[in-house]
This record gives sequence, structure tokens and C-alpha cells, in this order.
Amino acid sequence: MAEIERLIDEFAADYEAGRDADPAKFLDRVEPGRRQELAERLDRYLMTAPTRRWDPKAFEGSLAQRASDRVYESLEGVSGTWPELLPHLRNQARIKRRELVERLAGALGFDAEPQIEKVGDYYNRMEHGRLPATGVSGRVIDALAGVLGTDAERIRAAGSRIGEPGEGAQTAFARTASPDAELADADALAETAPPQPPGRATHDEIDALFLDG
Amino acid sequence: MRLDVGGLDRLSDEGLVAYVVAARAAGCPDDGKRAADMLAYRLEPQVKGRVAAKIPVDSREDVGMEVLESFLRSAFDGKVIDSVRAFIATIAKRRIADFYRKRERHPDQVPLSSEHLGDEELWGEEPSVEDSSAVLGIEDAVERVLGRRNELHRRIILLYGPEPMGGEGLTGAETVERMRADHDDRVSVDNVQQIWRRFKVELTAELADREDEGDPDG
Repeated sequence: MAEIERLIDEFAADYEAGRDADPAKFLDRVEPGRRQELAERLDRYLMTAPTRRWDPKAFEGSLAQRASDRVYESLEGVSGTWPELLPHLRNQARIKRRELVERLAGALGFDAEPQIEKVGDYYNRMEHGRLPATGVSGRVIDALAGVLGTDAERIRAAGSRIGEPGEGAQTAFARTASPDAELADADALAETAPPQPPGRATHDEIDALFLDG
Repeated sequence: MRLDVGGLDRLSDEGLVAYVVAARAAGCPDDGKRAADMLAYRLEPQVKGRVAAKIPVDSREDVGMEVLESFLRSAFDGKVIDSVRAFIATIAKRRIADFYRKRERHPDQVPLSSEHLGDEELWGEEPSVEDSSAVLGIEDAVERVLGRRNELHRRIILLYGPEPMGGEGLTGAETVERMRADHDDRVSVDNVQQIWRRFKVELTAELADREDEGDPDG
């Protein structure tokens, strides 16, 4: 019993100091027959642990921020739940955004740097709920599904799941989303300011693929 | 009433959820977003802790993200959440179970009750929504009934029981295997099913008693 109490105290001290409190490591420290008891005690502690006070600096780039941004962009944006699904699939496939964009552009038949950059701009808008899902052609969806190793229908269906667009949609997108910690790289494509919709005068094949459905 | 950061920070978790819903309903989604940011930040260590206990290191971030996204979506959708922490615990259990279900799907896996309606060997009803008040009631009853079991039975029930009640939803064969691997206990699939059946009967009675107590006419 004393051992369990000691471990709970140690876990609580780490947790409340904001240190990495990994329950699995604590569970490994007791004999198998007592793991269930410790797991239940840790669970109870988490139910009553002190509330974390708001810290905007710590929030920046956190898992919490990325989750909040994605859900908000899904609900208030124009791309269905792509802001949640596409990063999830990309993480699952362990593909960096830059690599995904290059492969997507390649699958669509574009290999010049300005073309790759333009495809990257559009893809970025898809991930952040700023590209109307109805405008994205089946060719793009199929190519993207191929790159991400998933079913095109899954991507198509997520695009059609529209939240209730609010009037805050435009201002929301002034916010710069944070890259995934694990897969982020410094590529300029991902984190550039939202591109302006290309004018009709320069409407090319890439625009048609992402805007004309 | 629009609250500044300090005002939001003084709200309870449940108060923040209510603020998110009210702001969205009032056509001020950006205000709702600020409250959602704060909620997500508060819950992040809770989620990480729960996920880290059961998920391999390389998948923790993905599962943690799914838990937070599910929670926030519910909050934005205006779902009634009586206890944020109980609710997040329930969602975490579900996403953890989903993770193992996807990764280790076995042909002999116990199906969800909705896939096998009428089979009384299976768990009764799956909650159709992630309703925290219902979950809390069930969790209390589960805890009371589990408390009356010996250690061996508790372990078996928590491995074999479905995830809405906090179990891992393993098949009988998987439960037998886990009991042997983790605790060096030898039990048969028949033992597991019998222990579960008795637990289920007692839990049903416990829940019925609770309903009677809560009935103003009763």
C-alpha cells in the first residue's frame, strides 16, 4: 500500500509541476499483480487533479492548440472535416507536408517548382478549411487518396461534412495554424500566408483542378 | 456576456463548455474558439496521461489528438456535458479501444451489441451518445459491483467487459491470454464468461436499484 501511495505522490508531483508524467512508466514500477490497483488510483487522481491555469505561451504549438484549430476550422470553414482528417491521414502515413505536396503534384502531372508551390497552396487551404470542397475535382481526391494510402471515398465524404458556417469564418483564418510537432519542417509551402484566390485571368489547369470541381 | 481571458480562466471546465456553446449560438464563433482553446489546454495533460497509460509511444500523439478533437467537437456541437473530466475519460477509453480494435482485429472478436442484437451473451445497450451523466451513473454502479469482487474476478471483468463500462473489450480467448501473460493466472474461456455473466446480473440489479432510488414516486 505504501508503495502505491508513494508512486501516486510522485506522479502527482510530476503532473502538477508540468513535467512529463507518464503513467505507463509508473505502472512498470510495480509488480504485475498490483498494476490494476495503481492504474485505478492514477485514474482517480486524474479525475481530481488541479486545473491547469491558462498559459498562452505554453499553448502555442501544443497538441491542444492543433486540436482546437482543426475542429474549429472544420466547423467554421468550407472544407468539411478535411482540417481534421487530412493531417490525421498524413501523420498516419508518416509523410511530411512538403513530400505530400510534391507527390500530389507529381500524380497530377506537375513537376515544375511554381506548379508544385501552387498545388501546395491549395493543399494547405484544404487542411485549413479554406477551400470549398465542392470545387476540388475527383482527380485531385483520387491522387490524394493514393498518396495518403486511403480510400478516396473517405476523403470525399469528409469534404461533404459541412459544419454550420459562422460569420467568424473569415477572421478565424487570419490565425496561423501550427505545424504538427513530429512532422513539421521548415518548408515555405506549409506556413505561408493564405494565398489569394487566383484571378480568372490566370486561371490555369491547377486552378481548374482545385476550384472547378 | 463577453469574458476576457482572466474571466474565462476563472470558469470551471463545465462553465467553459457552456461559454463555447453560447458564443457559437450567439454568432460569435471566435469567442467560442478562445474558450475552446482554454479547455483544450486544461485537458491536454489529462488526455496525455490517460493515453500514455495504454498506448505505445509512437501512437500517443495521434490518439491524444483524436480524443481532444472528439471532445471539442462535442463541446462545439452543444452536447450536454455534466462532468468534463468524466466525459474526457470516457472518450479516451473509447479512442484507446478503437486503436486496439483497428490494430489487432481478430476474426473471433466479440462484436458490438448493435451488430448482434438479441444475443444475450453480449453487453446490453451501447450508449448512442457520449452522454456524461449516463456514463457517470454507470461508472458508479460498475465501481460498486467491482468493489464486491475479488482481485482475480475484477481483472477478468475489466479485460472482458466492453469499453463503455471501462473494460478493454477483449474476447474470451484474449482475456485468458492476457491473464496468463500479465498475472500468470490460468483461467478458461468458460470461467471468463461465467464470471462476466454473474457480474452483469449484479450490475443490472445495481442499476435498477439506483433508478428506483432516483424515482420521486418510488
